[in-house]
Amino acid sequence: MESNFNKETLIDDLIAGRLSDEQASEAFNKLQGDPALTSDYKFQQELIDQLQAVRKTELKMRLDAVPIEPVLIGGLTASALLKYGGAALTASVISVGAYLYVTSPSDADIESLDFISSKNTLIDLSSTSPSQGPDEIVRFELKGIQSLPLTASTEAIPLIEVKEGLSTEKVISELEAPEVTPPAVTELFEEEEIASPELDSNPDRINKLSTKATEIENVQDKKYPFHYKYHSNKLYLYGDFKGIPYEIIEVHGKSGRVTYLAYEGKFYQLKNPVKGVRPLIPIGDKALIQELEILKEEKAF
Amino acid sequence: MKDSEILTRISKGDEKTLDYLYKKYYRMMTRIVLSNNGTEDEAKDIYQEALLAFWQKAISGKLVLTSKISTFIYSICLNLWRKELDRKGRFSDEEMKDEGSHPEHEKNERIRIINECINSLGDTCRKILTYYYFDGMSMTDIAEKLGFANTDTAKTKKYKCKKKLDSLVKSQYSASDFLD
Repeated sequence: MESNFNKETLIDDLIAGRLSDEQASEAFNKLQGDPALTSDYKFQQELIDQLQAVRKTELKMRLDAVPIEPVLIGGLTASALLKYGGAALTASVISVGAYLYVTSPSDADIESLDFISSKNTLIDLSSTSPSQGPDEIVRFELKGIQSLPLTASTEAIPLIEVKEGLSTEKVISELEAPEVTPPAVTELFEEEEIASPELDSNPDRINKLSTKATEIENVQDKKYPFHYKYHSNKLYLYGDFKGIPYEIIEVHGKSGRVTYLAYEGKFYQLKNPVKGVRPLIPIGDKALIQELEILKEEKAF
Repeated sequence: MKDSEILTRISKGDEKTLDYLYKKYYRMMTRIVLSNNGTEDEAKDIYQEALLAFWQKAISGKLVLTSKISTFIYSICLNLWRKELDRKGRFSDEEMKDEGSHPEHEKNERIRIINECINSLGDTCRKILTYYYFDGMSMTDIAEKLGFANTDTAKTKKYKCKKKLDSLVKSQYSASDFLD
């Protein structure tokens, strides 16, 4: 047992990088001359890789549950962008309102205007997909106005002039992303002031259960007995589920959407994006499992 | 919270401080990806990877910061996103075609088996092993965090848990299968 213990300690330390260069070199020499030890090393390497993967997944799920304010596009902070956005939208609404008032719109037109103004005020900038560029933010504003049943061109609306003195070009150039170079970070960004955490309190893990359907395709491939993949936002589930029903649970937290698979009493997190085909790994976090159980039950009713 | 306090807390394995850091720098770090053709999910993933790399370094107690924590994490994010862009550039078109004939089927099967075994270990064993192998926590810190009597108890438990995992996996898969 003593020699086994030493052998395992050596392999452990070698894999974990706890040996000095000299010790590591000596250990590798031992490995080369001993096929049994080499086999054990490879075996241990895979075990440790998976232990690390399990812990990483656990910590990532914890981070997913941390409530985050929506991220905005471009180089502006939330308050600044909302300020510009708010001013622009208010101006848009006033301009369109004035225009409609002058041109005596129908009741239907006024209803459309109310809808768009309230919608824009709430979601226009903060909920626009981050993949959209700054140009698209401006286009979105114009698109909203163009969708009104107006008889005149939107060019007639003095939208740009009333943006607190900002021209379209200026708005776009301020929103455009800068070239990324390794910087003195604190000069570029303002750090978000948040309260220090209480050491023992629990995070609010799950905020809302989505009822939105996910597009799923089952794939039978012997090479992937129990795996998944996301491609173009479509979920591919690999493996034979033996006719046993599974459920997809989408949880909308403040930090975004997290998807879980519930199958045969276990839960699996489905990361999106994910690189290639990944094995389905059951969640081990009991607190999370308990919450998912509750959500699953709620969903059933 | 000052950087020094953050490091002290993390070196004790305080996960609430990880949450705190995540929230504090979320916008700053994800912006690197968002403003360089990345999606919000990609931005989040890169930031999480970077933060966990920092966590692993910091928890070992060996990290000597010569810059602010934010600068350190920023650099990791930047490097990870550059690598990811490079990877995407190389594989974007061929990914779907190649997956079906990927030669890693056996490895995936082994991974599945190992994961099942890890999950059947029980909470305490799983925590000891993952704290040790991912977080790089010392046995003393693990003993403190999991409420063991002393470091020796933690060492013994870790040894037994590892043995249990070894035999669970080996019972389903021969060790020779791990030879390429």
